Amino acid sequence: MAVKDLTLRVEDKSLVTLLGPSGCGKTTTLKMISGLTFPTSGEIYFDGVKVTKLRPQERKVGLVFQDYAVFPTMSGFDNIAFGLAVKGMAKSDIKKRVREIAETLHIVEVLDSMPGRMTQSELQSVALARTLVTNPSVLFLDEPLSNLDAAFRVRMRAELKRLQKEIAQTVVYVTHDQVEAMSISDKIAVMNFGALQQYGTPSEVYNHPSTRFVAGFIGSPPMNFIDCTFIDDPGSLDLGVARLDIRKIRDVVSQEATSPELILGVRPEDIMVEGKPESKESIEFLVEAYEPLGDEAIIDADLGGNLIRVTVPTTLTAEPGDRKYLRFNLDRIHIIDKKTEKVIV
Amino acid sequence: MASIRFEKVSKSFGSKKVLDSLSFKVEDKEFFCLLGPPGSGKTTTLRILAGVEKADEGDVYIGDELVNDVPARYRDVSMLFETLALFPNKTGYDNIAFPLRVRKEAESEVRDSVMKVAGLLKIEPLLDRRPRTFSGGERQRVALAKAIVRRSNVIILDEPLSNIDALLRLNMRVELKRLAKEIGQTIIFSTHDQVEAMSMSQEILVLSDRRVHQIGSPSEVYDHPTDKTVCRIIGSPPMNLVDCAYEDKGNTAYLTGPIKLDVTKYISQIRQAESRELILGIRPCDVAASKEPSSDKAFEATVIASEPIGSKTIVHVKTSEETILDVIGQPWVEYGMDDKVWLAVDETKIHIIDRKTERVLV
Repeated sequence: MAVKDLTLRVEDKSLVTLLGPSGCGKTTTLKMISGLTFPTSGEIYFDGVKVTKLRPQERKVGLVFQDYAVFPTMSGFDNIAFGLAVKGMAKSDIKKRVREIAETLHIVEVLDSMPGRMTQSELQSVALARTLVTNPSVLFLDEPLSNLDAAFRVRMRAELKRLQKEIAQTVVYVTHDQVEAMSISDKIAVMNFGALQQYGTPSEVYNHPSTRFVAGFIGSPPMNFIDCTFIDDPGSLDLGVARLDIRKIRDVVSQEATSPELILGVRPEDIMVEGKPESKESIEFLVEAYEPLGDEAIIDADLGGNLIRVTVPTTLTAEPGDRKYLRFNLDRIHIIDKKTEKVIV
Repeated sequence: MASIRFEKVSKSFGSKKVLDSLSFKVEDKEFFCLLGPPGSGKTTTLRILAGVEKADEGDVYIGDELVNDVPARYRDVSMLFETLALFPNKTGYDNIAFPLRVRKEAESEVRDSVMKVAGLLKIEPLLDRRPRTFSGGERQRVALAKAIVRRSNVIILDEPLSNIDALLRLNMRVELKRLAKEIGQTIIFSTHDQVEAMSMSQEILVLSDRRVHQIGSPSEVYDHPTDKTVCRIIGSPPMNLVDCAYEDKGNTAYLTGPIKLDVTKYISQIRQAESRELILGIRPCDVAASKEPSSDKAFEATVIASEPIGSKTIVHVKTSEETILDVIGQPWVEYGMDDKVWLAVDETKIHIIDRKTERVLV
């Protein structure tokens, strides 16, 4: 089963991203909403109207896939005008519409150029313009930035978001890149193995992930997971190498956990590193690796056999083999039930 | 001894000049990176080093040996190019063993070397399987094993992490770095991703427009970029570059333009500029946005868009003079379109660039 029991609501004029690893069902979902595939069961509605069995043309959708598919033998103008010409629009109206959209996307200069002479960014903008000019009710973008190099992708993300807000277009975006999803979406549908894991705003999926999968998938570097045992009295987590005082949340954990086998989830930026133990909560670790990234650095740490990552400011340096101390920001930890994989706290 | 030296190497393909008098040196056992946008000549440089391509001009040295006319198979280099060359009908083991068997090494030695490298890259389960059953990341690791098994003096890796998904790439960066240290061979790799360059290498060569812009350690190219191109390439989100001018009042100097700063302490460096036209460079992480002015030097700007990426939020703002800046806002604070924010610049982190020569003055 590629997609099972998916229920989702996309608000008008919002940008919703289907996010997940390859094979999670996001492209299949996209195909069902756009009309390229029909669901085996269930219904799809646009503005309250059932469109489940309608073909893409009948649903008024626009699609831009990974490889843009700009017609190579037609100029920028003709490419963009294509959909309108096919519908029999008057030439003067076409000219007006194409110019309008070209101005919004800053591609007026390539209207007379051929695709062979256009840069990646221009090609992508032409592909976008071609669908936008037909005023689709929903625009679908399937991994539109994956072909671009790193620096360029960052610029295009901001451009896309700005554009979407400016023209108030409803967009369904598909990607496996969680940074991309986080930076542009109004809401993110995190999927895995055909099922919807969580549907929420970037803040919700980042700060309040509902399952282990979402917690580990969103955020870079990813959240660290450490197996631990819950000790009800007096309320602490036994990590093996240390015990954490969680009396403040003891009652919630006691109620929700199905067993004392838990997983401690903590993000690399929520761990503080010290040269010497500053408090009784400081735990010793061994530095395995140090990656300087410019504005911050990542330390790969061996914490009693658990390999975790910690983000530190560049003022803190370390060499593999150093022994240092760390402290968890207990206000930002997550506790996951090992059996159900649901996030309790 | 496996140092590498390129002296004034040039290469053209037809009328297109790809490398223009390229000179650089890699020390023995160094983990060296060629960083540059696609099309900047990185792959060509590596192909010339491998001997797969011949330079039009200039000299290439491996160790102390001039290798210009030495064919690839006689150079002591191993390579991993972007199009992964794994034999589809051989097992993982046989693929990795191939370079050793070609050199007619004894099977017992072959076995030792392959097992050692497989252990290093954690690919033992792949040894008796065939490439079509491998995932992208597994294929990459087996190809990497094949490249390093021969213990040649120089290992060439062309975009070794490009075909791997984001999460695995993060793990591979650390693994490669650890591996480089353990095997003690000279490694030169290329990438267009500056995060990769920064996290793995000892030295980075920033290559763009066919020439070398800077060669330095990660902290050198980040904290002390020498020209405008390096400023833009290193760091993500990229450094803000704002056109400005300066007023020289004898013993004080001020930057004029969208961001006004007292730059008296840099007056001797600024005076070396070819004209009064400068560029102020400031990284997004060195400009803090807040809803209230944090100091009397803070200035106002309007939000255009915001990107919450988890541990921080990138806010795109427009100043009163219509200049667009990327700045960092507090994580999870809502920065709505058209909201007003106050920006505070970390003045210890500014860079001043001569607009005409593009060289960094401060």
